Amino acid sequence: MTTNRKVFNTTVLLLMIVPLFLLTWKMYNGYFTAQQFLPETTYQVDYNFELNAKDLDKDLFVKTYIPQNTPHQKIENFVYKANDFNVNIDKTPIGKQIEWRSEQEFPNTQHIQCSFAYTGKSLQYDLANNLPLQQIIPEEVRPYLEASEFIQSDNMHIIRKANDLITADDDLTSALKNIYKYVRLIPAIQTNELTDALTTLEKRSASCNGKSRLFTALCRAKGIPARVVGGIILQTAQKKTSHLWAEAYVQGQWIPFDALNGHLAYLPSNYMELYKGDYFLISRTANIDFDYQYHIRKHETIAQNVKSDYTLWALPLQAGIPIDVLKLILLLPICSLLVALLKNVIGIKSFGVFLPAIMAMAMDGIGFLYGSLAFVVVVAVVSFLHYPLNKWGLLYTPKLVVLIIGVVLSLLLTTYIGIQFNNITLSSMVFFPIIVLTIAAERFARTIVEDGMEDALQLQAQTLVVTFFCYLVYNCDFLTGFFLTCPEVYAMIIALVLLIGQWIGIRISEYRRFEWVVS
Amino acid sequence: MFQLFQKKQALKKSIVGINQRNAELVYQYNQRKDYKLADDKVLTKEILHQHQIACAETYAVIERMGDLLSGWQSVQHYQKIAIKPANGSGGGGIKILKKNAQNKWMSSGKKIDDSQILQHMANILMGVYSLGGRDRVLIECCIEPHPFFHEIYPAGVPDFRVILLNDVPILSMLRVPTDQSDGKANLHQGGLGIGIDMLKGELTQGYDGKSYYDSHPDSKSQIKGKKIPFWNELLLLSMETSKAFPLNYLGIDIVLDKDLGPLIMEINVRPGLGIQLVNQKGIKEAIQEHKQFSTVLS
Repeated sequence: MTTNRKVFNTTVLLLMIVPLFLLTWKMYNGYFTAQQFLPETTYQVDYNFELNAKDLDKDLFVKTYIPQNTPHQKIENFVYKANDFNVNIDKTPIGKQIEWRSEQEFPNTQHIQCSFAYTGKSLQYDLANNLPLQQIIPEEVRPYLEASEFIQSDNMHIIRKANDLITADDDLTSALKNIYKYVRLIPAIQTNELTDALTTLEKRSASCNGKSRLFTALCRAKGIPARVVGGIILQTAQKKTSHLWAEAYVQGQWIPFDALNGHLAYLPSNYMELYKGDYFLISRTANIDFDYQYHIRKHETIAQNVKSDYTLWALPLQAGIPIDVLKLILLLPICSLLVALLKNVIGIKSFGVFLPAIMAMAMDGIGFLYGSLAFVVVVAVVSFLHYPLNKWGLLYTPKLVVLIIGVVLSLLLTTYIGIQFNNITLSSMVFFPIIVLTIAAERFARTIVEDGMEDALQLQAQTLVVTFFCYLVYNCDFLTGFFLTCPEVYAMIIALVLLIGQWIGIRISEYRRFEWVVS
Repeated sequence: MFQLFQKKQALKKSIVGINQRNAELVYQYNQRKDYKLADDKVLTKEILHQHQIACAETYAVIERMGDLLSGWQSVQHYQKIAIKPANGSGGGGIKILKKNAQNKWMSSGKKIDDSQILQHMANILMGVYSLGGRDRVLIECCIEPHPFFHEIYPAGVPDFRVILLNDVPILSMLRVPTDQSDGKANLHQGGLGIGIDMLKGELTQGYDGKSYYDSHPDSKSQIKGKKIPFWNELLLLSMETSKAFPLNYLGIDIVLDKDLGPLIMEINVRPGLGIQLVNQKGIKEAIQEHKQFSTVLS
C-alpha cells in the first residue's frame, strides 16, 4: 500500500471513530433526550372576528372554543380584545369557551380578537394487540356509543359496513385499523360543507369532517366508544378552515385517528385541540354580518433544559439565532451529501450540481408544492423568452438580465394573485433565489435548443426529484436538533464523502445504459 | 435474480463508468494544469503546429472585441472558413461559412450579413459557448470531407474518435451525421456511432443510441466490413499527437480531408463513454487486451 493510500485510510478511519466515541459519551451522559433533538414549535395564533349588527331583538354574542393545556399542548400569553362586549370564559365538558356578549347594537364594523401562543408536542400511542373487542366501558364514556344527528351509527348501512369490515377474529386494534384503512381510502375532496357519516358512506368522497364522522359512526356501530375532535391544523397562514379528526376509546385512553391526513394513533404537534364532540367551532347570533380569520405564525423555540456543553446549542440559546435560519446552514452538509450520493452512486442529473439544495432551502418557507410550481412557472417563462432573445442573437449577460426581469415579473404576478386570494404561501414566493433560478432556467432553455425537449424535461424532472429529497431533509426537525447536539457527526459525513469520492463503481443508471454491451 | 447478478458482474468486468473514468483514468493520467491544452482549441493547435502535426490551417485568432473587425477583414480572401469558440464543447458555436457565386458569405445555405457574423463572434468572446468565461475566436480552414464519408452519408463532416492510453490507441469509432442530427456527428445530438475493428481497419456496426445497424439507417449504405482509407496513417497520426501532449489518457478527433488526408480536429481529456456501446466492448476489456496495461484499472 502506498503512503498516500495509508494516509487516506487513516483519515477516513479517524473521522469515523473519533465522533463515534463522542457520540457514545454523549449517549451515556444524558444528551440523547427528546428535547435535545426536537426543537419545540410554537405558534402565535390570533382569532380575528369582524361583525356589525343592527336591528337585533336579542343579545348579540359570538362564542368560540379556545385550546386548553393538556399533555399535548401548552397555551401561554392568552389575551383578548373586549371592545364594548362583556367577555366570559367558561370551561365546559366539551372544551373551553370564550364568549363576547352585548346588548348594544354595532352599526359600524367591530373587530374582536383573542390571541395566544401554542406549543405542541406530537403524541404517538401504542395499540396493544389481543385486546378484546368488548371492553369495560365506564359510565361517563357511554354517551360516546350513541348515534347522533350527523353520526348515524344506528343506520342499517353503517352497521352492515361495520360488520363487513370487522370479523369475529378481529381484536380491538385490528378492528380500529380496518375501519381506519377503509375510511382512509375514501377519496378526499375539498369542501367546506358539513358531510354526515351516512352521506360519506354513500357518496364515497368526503373532506375531513365527513371522514371523521364516518370513522366515529363505524366504531360506535361495533360498540367501540368514539368521538370527533375539533381543532385547527397550525401552519404559517391566514386561514378559515378548521379541522375535525376522531378519537376512539381504548382501555381508558382516547386514541387519535385522522383518516384524511393519514395519522393512525398519532397526533401531530401542530394539531391544536379545541373541543371534543360534534359541535361547531363558532356559534353566534343569527342575522349579523360576520367574518372571521385565523392568523397563525410559526416560531421555533428551544426547550429550556437542553445540555449545551460540547454542542452547538449556544447558537440559538445565547446568540439567539432563530432555529428556522440555523437549520438551513446546519442541514446543508446533509443535503450536499445527498446530492453527491444521488449523482455519483445513482446517477441522477440536475441543473447545476447543488442547485437542488439551494432550491429546497428557498422552498422551506412556501412548501414543496408551491415551490416546484414556482420553478415550473419560471422555467416556462424563461424558455418562452429565450426563444426570441436567442433568435436576435443577444449577448449572454444582457440576455440574462432580460430573463431575470421576466422571472421577477412572473413571481411578482403570482404574489399579487396570492394576495388577491388571500393565500400567504403563494405570496411569499418573492423570496425565491431569483438569480440562481434564472441561470438554471436559462440552461434549461439552452438544453431544449441543443438536446431537444425530451432531454430538457427529463433533466428538469430529475432536478425536482433531488430537490424533493433535499426538501425532506430541511423539513426533518429531528435532524436540526441532532446536529445541534452532535456536531461531531459532520466529521462522519466528511468520511463518507471521502469514500464516495473514491468509489469507482458503476452508477446505477449506467447499468441500464450499458446493458446492451453484455446482453 | 442470479442472472441479474451475473449480468452485473459481467458488466463490471468490462465497462468503465463515469466514476471510474474520472478517478482512475482522467485524474490519474492527466495533470489538471494540462487540461487547458485540450480544452482550448487555440492552445491545442499551437502545440500541433509546433510539432508539425497535420491539422486544419489556422487563419486567425481573435482575442478582443476591438480586434473583431480587423480579424474578420483578414480572412476575406478565403472561400470557405470555419469559425469556432476556442473553449466550446459538444460542437456548440461552430459556424461554417462559404462564399457563393456573388462572393457573398453563406451559412447553412442562407445568406449571412457581416453584422450577424460579427455578432456571433462577439458572443463567442463573451463566453456564451464556454460556460460564461471569456473565450477566443478561432477561424480556420474548412475541411472538405473525403469521398469515403459521402458514400456512407452525403452531408456534414464525420470524424474519427480514437482513445489512447499512454500513447497506445485502445478503442476507436467513426461518427457520422444522420437525418435527425442536423449535420452534427456527436452521439448525444443524434449522430450515428460506428465501431471499428482496429486491427483490420474496417468498420463494424453502427449504433444510434437505441439499436445496432449493418448499414446507415438513412442512406442505407453498407457499413459492416467497409475498409477505412488511410487507417494506418490515421492511427500513426493519433499516436504522434498523443506523444506531443503531456496528456496520457485522451480522446483524439480526426477528420479525413479530400486533399490533405487525416487531420487532427480536437482533443478531449474526458472522452465520452458511449464509445463502449458503439463497439460493444468495454474500455476495461480494451485496456486489458494490451499486456502492458494489465494493472491499470482496479
